[in-house]
Amino acid sequence: MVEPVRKAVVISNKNVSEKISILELKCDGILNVEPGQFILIYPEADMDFILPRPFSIFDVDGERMFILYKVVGRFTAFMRRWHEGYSVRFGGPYGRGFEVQKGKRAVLIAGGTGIASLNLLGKRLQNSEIVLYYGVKSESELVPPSTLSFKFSDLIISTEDGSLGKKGMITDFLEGILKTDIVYSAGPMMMLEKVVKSVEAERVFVSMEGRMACGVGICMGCGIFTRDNDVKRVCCDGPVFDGRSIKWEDLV
Amino acid sequence: MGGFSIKLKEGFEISPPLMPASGTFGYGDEVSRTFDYSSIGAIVTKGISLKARKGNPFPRVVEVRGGMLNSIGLENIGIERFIETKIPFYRELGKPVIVNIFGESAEEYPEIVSRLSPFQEISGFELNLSCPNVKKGGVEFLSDFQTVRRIFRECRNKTEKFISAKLSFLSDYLKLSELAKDEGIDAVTLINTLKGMEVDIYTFRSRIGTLTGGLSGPAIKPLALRAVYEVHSKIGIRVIGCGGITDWKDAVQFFIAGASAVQIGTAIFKNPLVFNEVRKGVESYLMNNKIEFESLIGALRCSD
Repeated sequence: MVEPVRKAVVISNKNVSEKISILELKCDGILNVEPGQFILIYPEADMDFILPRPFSIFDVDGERMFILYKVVGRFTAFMRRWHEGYSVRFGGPYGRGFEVQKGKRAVLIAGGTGIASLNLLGKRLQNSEIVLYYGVKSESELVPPSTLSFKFSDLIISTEDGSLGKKGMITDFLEGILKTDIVYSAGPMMMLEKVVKSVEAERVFVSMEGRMACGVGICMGCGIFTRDNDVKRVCCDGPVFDGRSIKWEDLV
Repeated sequence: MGGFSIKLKEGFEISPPLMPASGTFGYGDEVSRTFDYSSIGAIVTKGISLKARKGNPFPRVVEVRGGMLNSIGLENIGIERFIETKIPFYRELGKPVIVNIFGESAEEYPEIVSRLSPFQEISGFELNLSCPNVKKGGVEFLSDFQTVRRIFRECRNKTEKFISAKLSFLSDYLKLSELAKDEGIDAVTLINTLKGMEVDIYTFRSRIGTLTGGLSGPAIKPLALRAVYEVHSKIGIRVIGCGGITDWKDAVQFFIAGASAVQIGTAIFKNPLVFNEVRKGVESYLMNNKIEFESLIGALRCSD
């Protein structure tokens, strides 16, 4: 039997921009992680949070795990106050991650905190040529590229308010993607739909940011529809899907 | 000396008297790598219908203060695939299984019961008469007593196995429990979720794809407890308590109010070990206070 709830201790919790932080955890054992997989953080019993919180795994090194998060609500605001030594209950790694296809040029398209799941992928794609497209609302939500764990040959940054890089949505600047490229994308659903519909690359993999309840496949709360007329769960059939298999018009 | 177990019907005893609430535990096989099945007395499946259903659009769940809303829309694989792919798992597991069933018409309930009743692996049925998230069937059945009586009677005719009727708080659950008792239904499950809403103030949209969703979690516990108490004390049919149970103390409250067994749902998500903890907690409580489990059921003291 696999332990459904594991333990970790906070090593560090650093703000990398105004709204983004990276939490470093020391876990109760070595983690075997596929890029794109996530963990569930279980709120403590005496707190009034109802559901576990899913977070993509930003990076991993033996027993150490890095989680990137943006302050969006009560729980993430609370996370920002976690200090060294704070103990965390978590489950996972869960979900199906990215297929790492080497030997092709890899185009990574990140929207907002979608950068979290693409970072580990970038690391696993080492020795492949990587182009990173990275869009955020404003500079305050940007993970400084120097913080990323992989090397890229080209970087295109956009902000919606124009505070850094090109002004607009990252999907406005996707020229230069070749038919022979492999595209890996993570971010809000609307953005992923645009990516899938606008690029002509050989494969387009997307990591879905589905709102979920259980995170382990028992509540069907993250069900999405696919072209073959089926229902898939983001938490365990995904979060990574072939972008062209999804019935976007029934989702967004 | 019964221990922490209950005979729900002749030949059908569950130990411990704890079960997952339908819809919060899939078909029971999804978490087989991590779940300790000895912590529950029976599996209760997701609602199964005659035909497969794709369910409702995204987003289907949202957390709210004190609970969550869901609108899954009874997504399920349909009876054929259920028989083919899930029954073999139940056979191997050897745990009692209560199949929650849902009909798009009154006729479908007895049809599903008669199809599934012959399987040894299935110990009983829970009739979902109270889903708030579907257009056909679901909660509006409950306002038509004639139809409900017919569903009870015909399902009873199709099986000797345990049957519980899952009712809504927003129905005349006393009258319906009486009907169930009259028609030989073994128990009622009280309560299903209650239709609720949550609004995004920036997009002006509901935070649930279908506008409304079923509210579950701690917020509904006092309502559930009241319904359990009323039905147990006034009607006398067996009651399976369900609604907002988060820890062993909540479970004990339901037993005192009159529940013979309880279901835990939403709390599973935040605490995958909730059944182990509730089981241990209740067992210690019974032992420390020298209480026999069966004498706890309905032991509420009333001054009037």
